[in-house]
Amino acid sequence: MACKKEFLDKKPISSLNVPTSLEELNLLLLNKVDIHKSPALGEMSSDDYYMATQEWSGQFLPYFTNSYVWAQDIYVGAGNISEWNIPYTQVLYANVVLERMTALDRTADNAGDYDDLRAKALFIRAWAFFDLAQVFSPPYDTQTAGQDLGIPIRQTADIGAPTTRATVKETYDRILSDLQEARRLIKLDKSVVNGYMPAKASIYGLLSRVCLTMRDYSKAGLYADSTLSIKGNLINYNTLSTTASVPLTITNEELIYQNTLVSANPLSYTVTSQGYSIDTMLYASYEANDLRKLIFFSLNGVYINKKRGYSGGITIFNGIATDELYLTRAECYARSGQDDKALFDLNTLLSSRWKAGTYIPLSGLQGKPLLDKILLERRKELVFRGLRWNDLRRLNKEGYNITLVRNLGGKQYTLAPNDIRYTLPIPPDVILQTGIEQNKR
Amino acid sequence: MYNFYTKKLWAPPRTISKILLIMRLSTIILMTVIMQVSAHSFAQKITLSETNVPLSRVLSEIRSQSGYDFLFTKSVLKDARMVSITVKNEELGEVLRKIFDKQPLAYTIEDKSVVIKGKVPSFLNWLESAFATMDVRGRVVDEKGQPLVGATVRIKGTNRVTRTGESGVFTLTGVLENAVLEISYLGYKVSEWKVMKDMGIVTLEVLTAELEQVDVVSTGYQTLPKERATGSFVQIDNTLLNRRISTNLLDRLEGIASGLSFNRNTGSSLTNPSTLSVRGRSTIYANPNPLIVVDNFPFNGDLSAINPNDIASVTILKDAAAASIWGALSGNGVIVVTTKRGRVNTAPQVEVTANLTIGEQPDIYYAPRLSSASYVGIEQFLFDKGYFNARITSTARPVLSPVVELLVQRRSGQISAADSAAMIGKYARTDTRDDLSRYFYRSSANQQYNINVSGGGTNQKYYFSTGFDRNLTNVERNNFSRISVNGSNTFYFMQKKLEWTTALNYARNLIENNGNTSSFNYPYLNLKNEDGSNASVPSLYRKSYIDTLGKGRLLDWNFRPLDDLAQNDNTTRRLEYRINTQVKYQIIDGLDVSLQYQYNEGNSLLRLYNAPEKFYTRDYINRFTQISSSGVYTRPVPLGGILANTNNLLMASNLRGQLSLNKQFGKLHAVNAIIGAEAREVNENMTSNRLYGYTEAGGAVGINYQSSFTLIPTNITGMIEAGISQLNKSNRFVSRFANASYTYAGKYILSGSARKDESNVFGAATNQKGIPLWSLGASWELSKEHFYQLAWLPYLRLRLTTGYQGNVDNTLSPQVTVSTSQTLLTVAGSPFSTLVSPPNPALRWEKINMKNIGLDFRLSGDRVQGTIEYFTKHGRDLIGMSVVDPTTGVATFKGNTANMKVRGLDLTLNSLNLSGNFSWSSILLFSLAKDRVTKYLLNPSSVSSAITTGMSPIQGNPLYSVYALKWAGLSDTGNPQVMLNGEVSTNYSGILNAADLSNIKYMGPANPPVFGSIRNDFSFRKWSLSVNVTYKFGHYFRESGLGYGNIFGGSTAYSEAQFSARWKTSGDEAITDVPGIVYPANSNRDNVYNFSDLLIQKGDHIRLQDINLGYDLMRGENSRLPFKSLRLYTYINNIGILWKANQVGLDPDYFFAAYPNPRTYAIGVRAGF
Repeated sequence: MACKKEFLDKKPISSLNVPTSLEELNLLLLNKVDIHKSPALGEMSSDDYYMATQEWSGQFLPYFTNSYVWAQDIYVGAGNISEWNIPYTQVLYANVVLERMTALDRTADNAGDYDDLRAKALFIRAWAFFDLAQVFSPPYDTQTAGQDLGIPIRQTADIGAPTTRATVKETYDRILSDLQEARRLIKLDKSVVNGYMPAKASIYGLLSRVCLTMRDYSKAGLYADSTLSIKGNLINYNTLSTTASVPLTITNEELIYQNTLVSANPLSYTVTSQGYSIDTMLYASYEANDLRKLIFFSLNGVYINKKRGYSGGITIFNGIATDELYLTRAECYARSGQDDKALFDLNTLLSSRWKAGTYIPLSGLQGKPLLDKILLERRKELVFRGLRWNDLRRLNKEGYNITLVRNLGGKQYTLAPNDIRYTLPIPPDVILQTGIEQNKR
Repeated sequence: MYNFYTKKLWAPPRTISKILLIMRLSTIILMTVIMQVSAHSFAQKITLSETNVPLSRVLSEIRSQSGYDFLFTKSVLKDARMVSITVKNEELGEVLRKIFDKQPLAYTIEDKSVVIKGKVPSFLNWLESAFATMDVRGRVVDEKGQPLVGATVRIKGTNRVTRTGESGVFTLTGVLENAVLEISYLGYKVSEWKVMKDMGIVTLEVLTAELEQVDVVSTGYQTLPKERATGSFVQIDNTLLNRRISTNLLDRLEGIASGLSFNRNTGSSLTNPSTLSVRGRSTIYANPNPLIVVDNFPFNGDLSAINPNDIASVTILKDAAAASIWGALSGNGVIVVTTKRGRVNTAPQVEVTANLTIGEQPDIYYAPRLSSASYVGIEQFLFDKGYFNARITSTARPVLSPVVELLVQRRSGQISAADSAAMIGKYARTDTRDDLSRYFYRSSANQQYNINVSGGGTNQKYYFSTGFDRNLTNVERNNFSRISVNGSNTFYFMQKKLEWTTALNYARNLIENNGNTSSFNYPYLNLKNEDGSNASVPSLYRKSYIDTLGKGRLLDWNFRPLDDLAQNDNTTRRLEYRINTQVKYQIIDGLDVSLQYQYNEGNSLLRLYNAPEKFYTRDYINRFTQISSSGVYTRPVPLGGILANTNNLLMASNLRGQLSLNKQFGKLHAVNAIIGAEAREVNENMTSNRLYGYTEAGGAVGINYQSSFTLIPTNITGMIEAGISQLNKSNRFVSRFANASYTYAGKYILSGSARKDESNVFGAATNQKGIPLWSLGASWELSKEHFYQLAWLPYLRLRLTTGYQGNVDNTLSPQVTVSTSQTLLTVAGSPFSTLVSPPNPALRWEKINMKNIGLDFRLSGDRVQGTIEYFTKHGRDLIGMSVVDPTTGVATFKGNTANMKVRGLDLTLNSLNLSGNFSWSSILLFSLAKDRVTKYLLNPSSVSSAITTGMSPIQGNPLYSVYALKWAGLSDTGNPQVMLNGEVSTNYSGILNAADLSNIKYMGPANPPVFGSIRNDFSFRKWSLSVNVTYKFGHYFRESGLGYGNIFGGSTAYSEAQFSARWKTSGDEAITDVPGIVYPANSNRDNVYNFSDLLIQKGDHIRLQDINLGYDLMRGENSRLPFKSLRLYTYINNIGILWKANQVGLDPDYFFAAYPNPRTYAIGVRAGF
């Protein structure tokens, strides 16, 4: 009988791989095609850009058009939405690794690799859960997080397992505890190969981003500090070409973790096309000696195009880089009254952004004006970095009262602060297949 | 005649009575059938009033009143009692019942005749006679009077057996008076004899080959008399197999087997097509082909390695009762091939076959094509529109057609208007196909030779054969040759209780594939220059560029098709051998145990050698040539040839142990059963590699595969193709099986089979559950019943079966599967894996439930006999795509989610229309198989994907369906219009991308649901003629329309008739449906027309497939002949279509093909010595 069992255990086709070793499982996490991608719906709904009317009405998919004006039903029945599907594919990759690992023995010889693999899988899953929560569940609010509906937290590779929604609190608890475990298990401090592999710095960076989103500013600041203590270098923008169409590349030294928004969205047109433009007010806020004005943007007729993403690609970079963490740390210092430290961080960042010898370090700013200055520079530095939507949701909770406005063909659309439309609807095919509760719009 | 006949029966002469004693029933029935016509019109109501008269007298009276004959031997009546009866106008049956009630006799009504026999004795009767015994003695001889030593003599229905001794003599003591002896000897007909004290000389008749083949069906596990089988079988005997001349075995089955269809019209554009199907299609993604079994084991090798001349017979297993013994492999039906074997006690028999088949040159003008003149016109039109400007100025120097080159020269004033007009005019009159047909195509010539010798001694039999085939196909330099050698030997030991067989089959194929006929871009090329040298044709880059580039330091960059034709060296060599050994031991009479092993290995080496002179090689070397800024030329791809090798190795092992029971219990009960287990492993290894700088002397040069090079003249970068790959497959099965049938009184049969398969392909859960695939069947021979009275239908049998067959898609796994990319696409600089499929622990076999109702019948006179069968096939748990909750990480999932249903009918009708010196028989085959997808969880995403994909399963329709858009005429500007959401539309992208599938019209199935043939066989003295007409009905195909986008891009594969009938000016929309030219072309607009129902044609057609004419000579007639038998024959195949439904001149079996199979003419001889 045992002999028969062995006879039938042979793999049927050599190219049909069933990953069984740590190395083979690790290859799954190196997949750039399915991993390192985030939903774009938030950025698409944000206020850093605008589309001309005819471009807006000619969008390829209904939700490209409808999300721009925060319509109630954005999908009009269409399913197969990559905004939802791609992050959950990443969750499946992570779950496959986590599940199949349990069949392997953790030995003295492989303990380092074993733990590292688990850390990476946990990080990749946490990243996807966090992305999804920014789009498909309400902003984190300690008062209501226990009741607000979060996202489905799938922790199994079994496609037969049911899909249910967790609460917002459960969602963030899972993200935080997975990241804490990953932080303990991860092997390397800094990611090699251009930030494609999670390392301790990326985990701290994401923890900082998560805590900032939860408005837990003290922790956000601490994690930003931890990240910057591992890697804190900034590029002097004077070393970059202001005329190049790709001034920043994949070897960008500020990169901590590589990630982009999914490619299916109208945002990428802002890189080259007429009819797509960066918000003119935002553009006007860059001063003449600010090199970012030339390095980030190019003029295309009346339209202001955004040059390629922070890692050189057409798709929008939303990974982790040191500049984001300088701004987060500065904000958290400012919020906790450590104005000098905040100013120092802000000046450090800006002096690397301005034309050599032109930047006059800020001094004397305190309290709310300092915070406002940091938040303005945050918007200017992190333009088209996939973070504006998170900030809008967070800052409106803080009482910033930012109202978004779109003008299209003589018609005006607005999105009021804390509007329930800051939570996007779940794709209809998911609702149909699972019966989970749809978000209110 | 009537009188003579009855007289004979009333008082049979001595000799006849003896025969009657021996072969009672069958002979009588046969004779009665002849008489039956005259007995037809008599009344059947009887009036009688008799007291105490002899039975014979009463019967005589009934005969004259009813017209029924009474058949009996005198001895039967000697025990009859006197009869007293009074009836008035009563039914014959009732009268007979009254008479025979009190008689020690039984009667049956057969064919308007009443056969009277002694009553089967009751238990008490049996006891009475039980002690009346005697000693019996006899001598068994063959037809020549030679004693048969070791023949089995059994008292029927008992275990008492003896064997004949030295001089063929046997004795048995204490045999019951009414016992019957059953005498058998291998290779001879089993015969039964009533016991007598002195049996005298018993002569056994030789079992002829026909009997062996016609009466027995083989499932690959057992052979059964057809009369004992409940399932649906088609047998094709040796004669029928030899009717067609072919190199390949499967070709010989076309048009002669009911339910077997050759799907010629599905084309290669379909997803997962099958060229051959038994009773339609019942799977979607799993293996769609029937299982082919050769000598009891699944055949995994290349069928072209089997020489059809070595095949004794083919049995096709169509329903569950027939096929489910093959379990998980049987879902598409099973074709069981049995090779020839020797016969014991037979002098060596030699058979020699030789034939030559000549095929007509293919008609390469068959496929639709624009004329050269039209094409030149379009080029001029495009040139004027500026279509070629970008190409003309491109630094990559893409090739321009000769006509465009002339137009460029004209525009720049290099040639005069008159010269350019003259030269362009010449192109308009030139047709590339003229030279293609002259230099690339030819008449085919296939030679086939085969010699075999078979025979055997008392304890041994053998078969040896050698065959040689040499085919020159209809494409120049494409050839096939095969040498096959076979041998099999069987030895018998221990008084034939132990049997050992070994067989070795070996074949070596050589396939030369050197005639690359891919068309050469432009419709107006000459392949020869006027001076007779081989012409260069425009290929990749402009000639003016390649002739000057590199100032002579690059290799010649001209493409000369005829040079390449001579240089091509593309061969596949295949060695295939099969060893088979079997040991069988008879434990007790009727119970055998056997062990069989087969190993099959096929090794094919595909060798594609591109000589240094070939365009491919020169181009490859040139493209990679690096020119440094200082003008130094280096060649990363070295000079010399490029050799690509692909090696496929297949190894299959099978082991089977089996216990077989074949036994008659008493007079009424017979059991036929097998039980066994088997294991099977099929391994396939594929490796390929590529050598550069190859020389015939064995040289090859190391290559830098890692670096990127800038290519000439495109300046894009590329890497040198390493061409290294490997793939290993391994399928393993462990199976247990059992099959039993029980026959009662020769008229009721119950059968059942069960099989459990386990394999390395399927999930642990499914393997452990091990739900067996099973079948049940029953058969009832109505015509053997007492009450059965249909004289015109003397044989009628009803068969009912149901059961499950299985199927496998071994690309799936229950475990999570990934594919690993070795190409370093990711910026992470490492290979990476992609998830192919999430874990699916519930993966299981596809299960096909098949129900079959069959009726076998024979009309009186044996002139008409046939079988009609109705079946349903219900495929459940079929592998299909389904939509799943994307939160799982996948949006679609391939698993056991689909269902399909096939309903159908098979009718076989044989009729003997004329017999005698001139005989004429007809065979009608009619098959219906309609498949329907009954459950499928993923709809095509759009109208255009439903129409264009090779397979779009849509619930309610056949798997392969033809869909179209609803045509709504041309607009007044010559634009095509179709219906979209109920309105006439020209929103082409909207039409094609619509998700609402109600916008497409289901036209019908792509495979013919109705097919069959009518064969007429004539013979006159030594001449025989066989004509086969085949037909296919009920299917549809799409003729090619007109795609301006493709035409502008250089395609000419469209109908000239449509092109010239296109819309040209306003008002034409009233007379034509062909859209007008627009510039620039709009491929969506083209497709809307091309997908419209206008272009859907009916596939119905009737074809005169082939004619075989033969002349037979036998030695018996002329003893000076050096051979025993000789057949001379001629055979014409692919004769032509007799009728077709479509009016567009396309052969529905070849609507997409370059040309239909050319007609072939063969002559041959088969001689036996």
